[in-house]
Amino acid sequence: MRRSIKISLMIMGAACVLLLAGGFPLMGAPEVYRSGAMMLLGLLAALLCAVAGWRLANGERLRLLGGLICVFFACAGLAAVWQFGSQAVEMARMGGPMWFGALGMACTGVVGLLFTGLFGFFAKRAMHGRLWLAGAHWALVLIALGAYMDYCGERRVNVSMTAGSAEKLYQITTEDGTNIPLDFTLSVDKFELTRYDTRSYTLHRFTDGKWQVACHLAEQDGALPLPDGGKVKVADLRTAPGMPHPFLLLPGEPARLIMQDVPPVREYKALCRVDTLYRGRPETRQVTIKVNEPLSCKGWVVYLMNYQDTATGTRVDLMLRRAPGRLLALAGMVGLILCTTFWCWIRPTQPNR
Amino acid sequence: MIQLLTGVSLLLCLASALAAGMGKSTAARHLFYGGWLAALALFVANAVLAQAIPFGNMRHVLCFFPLVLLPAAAWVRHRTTCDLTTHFAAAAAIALLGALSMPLQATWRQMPALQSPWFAPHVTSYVLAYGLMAVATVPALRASHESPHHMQVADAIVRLALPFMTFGLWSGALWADAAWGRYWAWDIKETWALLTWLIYLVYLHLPTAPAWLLARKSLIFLGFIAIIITFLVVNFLPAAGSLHTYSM
Repeated sequence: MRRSIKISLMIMGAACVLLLAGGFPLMGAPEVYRSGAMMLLGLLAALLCAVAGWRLANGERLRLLGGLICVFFACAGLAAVWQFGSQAVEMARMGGPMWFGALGMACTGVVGLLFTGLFGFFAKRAMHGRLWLAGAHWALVLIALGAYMDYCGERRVNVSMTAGSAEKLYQITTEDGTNIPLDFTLSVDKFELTRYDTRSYTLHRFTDGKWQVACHLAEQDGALPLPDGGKVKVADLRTAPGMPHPFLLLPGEPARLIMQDVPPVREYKALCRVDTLYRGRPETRQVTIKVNEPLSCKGWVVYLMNYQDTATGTRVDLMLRRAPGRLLALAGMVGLILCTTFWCWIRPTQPNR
Repeated sequence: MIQLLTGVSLLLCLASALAAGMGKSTAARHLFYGGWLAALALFVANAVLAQAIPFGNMRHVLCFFPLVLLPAAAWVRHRTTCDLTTHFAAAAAIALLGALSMPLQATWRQMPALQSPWFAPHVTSYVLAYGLMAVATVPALRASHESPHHMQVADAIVRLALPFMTFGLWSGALWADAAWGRYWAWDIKETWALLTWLIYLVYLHLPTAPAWLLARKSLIFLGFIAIIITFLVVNFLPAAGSLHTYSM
């Protein structure tokens, strides 16, 4: 076995042991991951991956470079299809004059598809098993590079803003008290929450001086069967001031209470206004931030994390993040998925060991 | 209805595994197809009940296993000319047995964080990867110096499954970047998923020479143990504080 493979195996083994050590929360070891040992292992692994990628592409490095550029363009085409195609569908769904925009988006999507097909074909011609494997190793290097850049230079701040108020965010204060001005002003105009239209019920029992959940009740033909064999009609549940949902207090000892549960949240979103400068001119944008759809603006990404109902209105919890290595790490992840897939599936008979 | 469909699919998968074990491969395949159809009906019923893609809890995911294991069995048969219907049908039956023992959670609804385009491909790829890797364990354990063919079959299955596992792991990171504002949080489930992935990477780095057979067998078995911990045990660890609590 080659020495480099031996070293790789040792490092992977050490990483496995460290992950195992931190993998049980009872041992309180998640800090293992942020320890110097893990950082050093990550660095060594990245260096080894870089060397392995370099060696695997020996004599065909230009070919690999060309292949990876083709892969990049194929991915860019796919991203265009995803981005513009989905926007086209969204605009078409709105109907009316939006059709024109939708058509334009669809054309861009089709061009993206052509890009993907063309460059995907070239990439497949240029690359072969060993080069895909080299690509996978370099993708790991990219992920490590991005992660270390983020470790050193990431800024992450949580802010809470009242929806519909005149509150504006134009700078943030980090944990160490540093004020960082943003190149834009953010305000939350509105917060919208929708819930599922489902009904479920819970039986509570008064024991040890407090109400405790006894069990969940399933509605059957407009009635709620109780654990003791009795039945209660759903129509008998009543509302009262201060009680957000219908309930029914059952007679007997210990006291029992049936309450309709709060339906689960379907979606929540913050409708925000972003004031910024575009080519020297002031520009105002209306943006909707959802849980999986953050807002990107001037190098910052704004995430909708949570909400709280308070006496003064709904407080919207946002997180602002500037991560210098984020795009590098994400590109590495996409590259790793692609290269591993092609290495395993296209040439499964070439072990390359 | 849900329980009935789960039961029917379970019985058909069990019958398929038994038939394959008795050497009646055609009957086994037909029974597996029947089990797959029942699992498809179960998937649709779950989707109607949940009003979303039914991947939201452990029961949903376990019910999905048979749906991906049948195409995987067909692919392995085509690729390795080795009929592993017994293994795949048994794996599907075990998953369905687990689903039957879990509460129905009829009022489950998809929470906002799960409403992402990554949701379905992330879960599907993991189900496929874990199902395939679990099946790969059986031929790997049967492999010996006298019958290296079993190890080749296990190797082919691992190579089929690894891209799915890679996609599952890193698509999860891409999704987390959009939903939680960080692509890696050292969450307990993530950590175990990474450990599992690393074990299979170590396996792929080992030489294929006969002298390494025992090490390779051991790694596939270790990988299987890691899969069980990642998929099931992690959910029951106390005070884990996992961000993946909805997958319980």
